[in-house]
Order: sequence, then C-alpha cells, then structure tokens
Amino acid sequence: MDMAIIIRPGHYPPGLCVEARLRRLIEDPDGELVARVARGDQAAARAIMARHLPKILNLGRRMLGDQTEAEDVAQDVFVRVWTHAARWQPGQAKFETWLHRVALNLCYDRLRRKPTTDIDRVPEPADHTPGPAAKLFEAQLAGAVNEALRRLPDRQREALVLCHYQGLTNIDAAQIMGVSVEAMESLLSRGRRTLKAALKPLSEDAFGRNEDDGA
Amino acid sequence: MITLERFKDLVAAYGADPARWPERERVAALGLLERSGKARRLMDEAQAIDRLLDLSPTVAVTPELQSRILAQLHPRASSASVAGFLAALLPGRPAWLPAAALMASLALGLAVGTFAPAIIELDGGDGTSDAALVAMVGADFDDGAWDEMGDGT
Repeated sequence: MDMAIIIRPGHYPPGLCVEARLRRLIEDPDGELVARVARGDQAAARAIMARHLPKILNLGRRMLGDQTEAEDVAQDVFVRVWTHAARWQPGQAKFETWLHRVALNLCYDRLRRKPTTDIDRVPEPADHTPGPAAKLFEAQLAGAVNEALRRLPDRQREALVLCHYQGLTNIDAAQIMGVSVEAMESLLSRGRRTLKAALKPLSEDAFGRNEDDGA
Repeated sequence: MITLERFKDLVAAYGADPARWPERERVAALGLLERSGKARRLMDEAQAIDRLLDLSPTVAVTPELQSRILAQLHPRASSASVAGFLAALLPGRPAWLPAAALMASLALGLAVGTFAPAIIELDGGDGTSDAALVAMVGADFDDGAWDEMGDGT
C-alpha cells in the first residue's frame, strides 16, 4: 500500500497516524526554518523567502495575470507566515502545501472581485514576421499563453498552475485544491484541452515556423 | 503494468514530462512508452501543449518586494528578542518573573528620579546638583563626578 496516497490532514487512518505524521515531519524541509522565523530570526526569514517567494510570486502572476497584484498577494502570504509561524504545528501539513493554500485563497479573494472573461476571445499576436522580429513574436506568444491561462475556468487554471508550473506532486496538488487525485486529474486534462484549442492557430504558427527554422 | 488507456489519461493530465507523472505509475508508463508506438504519438501531442505552457514566462522577485516583506518581520523580531532576553535572565522560569523584576526596578528608579531634584535643591550647589543627578541615574561614573559627589556630601 502506498502510504502517501492515504495521508490527509485530519484523516489519518488508525494505526498509521503517528507514522504518517512522523513521516511528514521528517519530509518537511521547512519545519526548522519556520520555528526560527517564529523567534524573529531574520536569516531564517530570508532563507524561507529565497526558497518559496519566487514560486508564490509566479503562482500569483499566473492565477491573477497581473504583476502588481501578484506581488501584493506574495507579500500578504509571507506576512501571514511571520504572523502565524509561532503557532505552526509541524507534522500537521507540509509547510509548502499550507503556503500554496494561503496564496490561492488570497488569489481567489481578488478573482471574485474581477469580471469573468471568455476563453474563446484570446487575442492573437499582431506580428507574425520571422527573422529579426522573432523575439517580439515570442514575447507576444508568451502574452497570448498567459492570457489564455487567465481566461481558463479558475479550477482548471489552479490545477495547471500547481502541477505544471509549481511542480507539486498530484497528491499535494489535490490536497491543496481539496479534491481527490482523480478529480484534480480531470481538471488538468480539461485545462490542457481548453488551452490547446484556444492556442491552436498560434501553436501551429510558432512551432511550424520553429521547425522550418531548424531545418 | 499500465494500460494504453491509462497512459492516455496520464499524459492528457500531466503532460509529457515523466517527472510530473504520479510516482507510483512512472516506471510502468515509461515501460509502455518503450513498447508502444501509439504511446509515443500520445507523448508527442502532450509535448506540443507543454511547449505552449512553457512559453509563459517566469517573473523574478525584485529586491523591493523582498525588502517590503522583510520589513513586516521587524515588529515580531523585536518582541521575540525581548521575550528571549527576559527568558534568558531566569532560565527555566516563566518570562513574567524577570519582566516583573524589571518593572519594579523601573518604578523604583522613577520614584527616586521624581524626588531627586528636591534633594539636590536642598543641597544648594549647582555643580554638585548635576553630578549627583548623574550619579543617581547611573549614567556616568567618571572620576570628576565622583569627586564632586564627594565634595558635596
């Protein structure tokens, strides 16, 4: 039996509870740093930021599609870390999992205040000129991908961001999202299908041309 | 062992990078990939979507953002330092004990400070008054101050 599948906070199976919690304790590389942050240790705070701030910032950027809002979310997340570090209970959940959940909650608070948009209206890059303009085209493509991500249904985008960009395991991502692994996989598949359809004309231009360039 | 149907679901959800596949299915899926041309075609399709997703740029953390966040740690840091200092005064005892002792000392100091000017005025000498005041608050014990204290008493 794969223990990692059945571990859920608050739902430890009888007999495995202590073992599972010990395993989490051992596996969580942030436990010691969080304890030091609780004592006001600046070096620990810097270390924990170095480890997690880039990921949390990029999560916010991809969930919200806005740099300034992403920075505000990242700041709010870490202020919560500073505030709650003393009450952190090692072994209850992985710190990184908790951090992602807090960041996503803050993103959803902001998304609820934004108007919804339609995935079918992803703007195409204006310039398809090859050669010297290739970099510009790539930047425009990147913008189009970000826009397509932003227009995905929230839960599909969340699943994609957690698994593809944040590099979390399926178990951690499902736990953060509060769904089963199967449900998270379904959201992932739908998200990738939707993105593929929305970006199909662009991907044919981009990758078709790249292959020509490489020939 | 993994079926082609499950492999299809796997790459449709997690893409073409085996590092993103569920750990317990990874070895079996890689085995199937070696044996099945259909699995390889499914991988190619998944790779195309991965390449699109990877076009989304990663943003860098600015020093300003780091400073803003670290600045929020300061109030906790100073209160934690005070608590740590108090705890270190009487190891193994609750922090309120040394805190109470310090507060009592402070109250005594304030009381003495409140009455000190009247005492000095009774003594009358200007230079002596300054030296006495300095000595009472314990701020400066240079030789001159000791001499004047001696002269005045």
